[in-house]
Amino acid sequence: MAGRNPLRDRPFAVLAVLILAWLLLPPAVQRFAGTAFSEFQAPAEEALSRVRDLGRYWSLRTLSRRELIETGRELSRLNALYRLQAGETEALRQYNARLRGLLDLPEPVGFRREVARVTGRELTNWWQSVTIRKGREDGIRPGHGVVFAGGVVGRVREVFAGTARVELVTSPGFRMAAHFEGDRRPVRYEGRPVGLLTDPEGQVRDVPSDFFASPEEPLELVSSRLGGVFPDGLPLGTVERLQTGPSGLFQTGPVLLDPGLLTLEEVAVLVPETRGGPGDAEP
Amino acid sequence: MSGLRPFVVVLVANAVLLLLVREANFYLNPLGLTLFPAGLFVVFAAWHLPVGTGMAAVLLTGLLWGARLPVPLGLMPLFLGLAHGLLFHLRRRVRSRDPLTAAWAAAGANALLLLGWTVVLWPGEGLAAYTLRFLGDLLLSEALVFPAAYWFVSLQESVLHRWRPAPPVEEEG
Repeated sequence: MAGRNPLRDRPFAVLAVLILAWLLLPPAVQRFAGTAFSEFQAPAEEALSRVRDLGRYWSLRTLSRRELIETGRELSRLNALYRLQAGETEALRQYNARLRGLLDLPEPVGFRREVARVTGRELTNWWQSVTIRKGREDGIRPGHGVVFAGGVVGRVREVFAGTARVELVTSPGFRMAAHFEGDRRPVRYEGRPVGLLTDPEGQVRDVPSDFFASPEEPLELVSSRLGGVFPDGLPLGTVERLQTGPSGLFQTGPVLLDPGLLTLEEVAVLVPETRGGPGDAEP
Repeated sequence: MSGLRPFVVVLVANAVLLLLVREANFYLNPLGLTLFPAGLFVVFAAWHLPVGTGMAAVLLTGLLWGARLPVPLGLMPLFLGLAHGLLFHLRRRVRSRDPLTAAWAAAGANALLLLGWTVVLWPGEGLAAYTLRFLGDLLLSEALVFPAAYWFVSLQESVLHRWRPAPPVEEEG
């Protein structure tokens, strides 16, 4: 006579046995399982994002010829402006390099920009991240900085073969060094989760007491070269209010971030160049 | 209803639903809202399948979901496993197996899971904004999970019914 299964109709006992078995697995096996489960889903997510792109393409195809001509003209004007600005930037870069040579200053680390499409968003109450369609095969590594047209996006947190997860500047665990435009003293920036139907916000801490900010005279917070993740001077946000902290020595205040952070479609990962390499981003 | 068939049906249905929810969240997240569908993943497995088959399908769903989240990999399977256990015990008391009862069970389990998840992952500051966002997520999730559960449970029942094994052919002597 077969004995009765002791785990039959006992879901919590089954769960306890399975959790114990999971905990007894070597950490390498657990990590492998995590990566395998994640990689398994990557093609499906990529397919969904491509379907989204296709939908956008077909919606653009409905535009009339006249609208396309007007858009082309607008783009042509913008192109001319950007070419002019690129020329000025190149002249400034050469001037900067000459000054560095005269002062015998070391060359800062340059960055290669790896442009990537956003395939997924996780802007929850608990964390804020996006998934991009580039990964280890494109030279992206955990810790690399990520930017977009509006400034700093965040930092690469996890990298898989063809995708990567980027922790946004709004994520509660996000910290980075920053400074105010026109001032070299470093301050600390921290992320804050996006609230219900509100624009993204962060928080600035350790601001010296001689700073003053108001809606009429806001302060521009920009990235700092400290830490080596971002070049100097990338826009981070605007500070319109500062208040003295409990110590009385430093101030804190909310940072108004670019609302475009919530609807990102394309970003650029800053991959550090080795010294003397063909860096395209001179900070 | 034991064996590989129900396990595969539940797992595939959950995986497809997970992808659809991610797509919905892609558009909802910029508004400061998140759809949390955990209750949908456990209700059919807990109410219609034997404990081993149902738990295995639910835990694998948790691993699929948790692998893309910035939390320890075992956390989501643990939450789903606990909800599965709770609903499995509840099924002895509730005789009705119709999709409407399942929808109520899914909505209840979902609210409990969202509350538990929110408490465990509380960052330690900004309670007012955190609570407001939780309430928004809860309202949205419950409003969508209830009708979706009705459909989702019926779908899994229907697929299992169509995919049932053929009856054995009696040999004529």
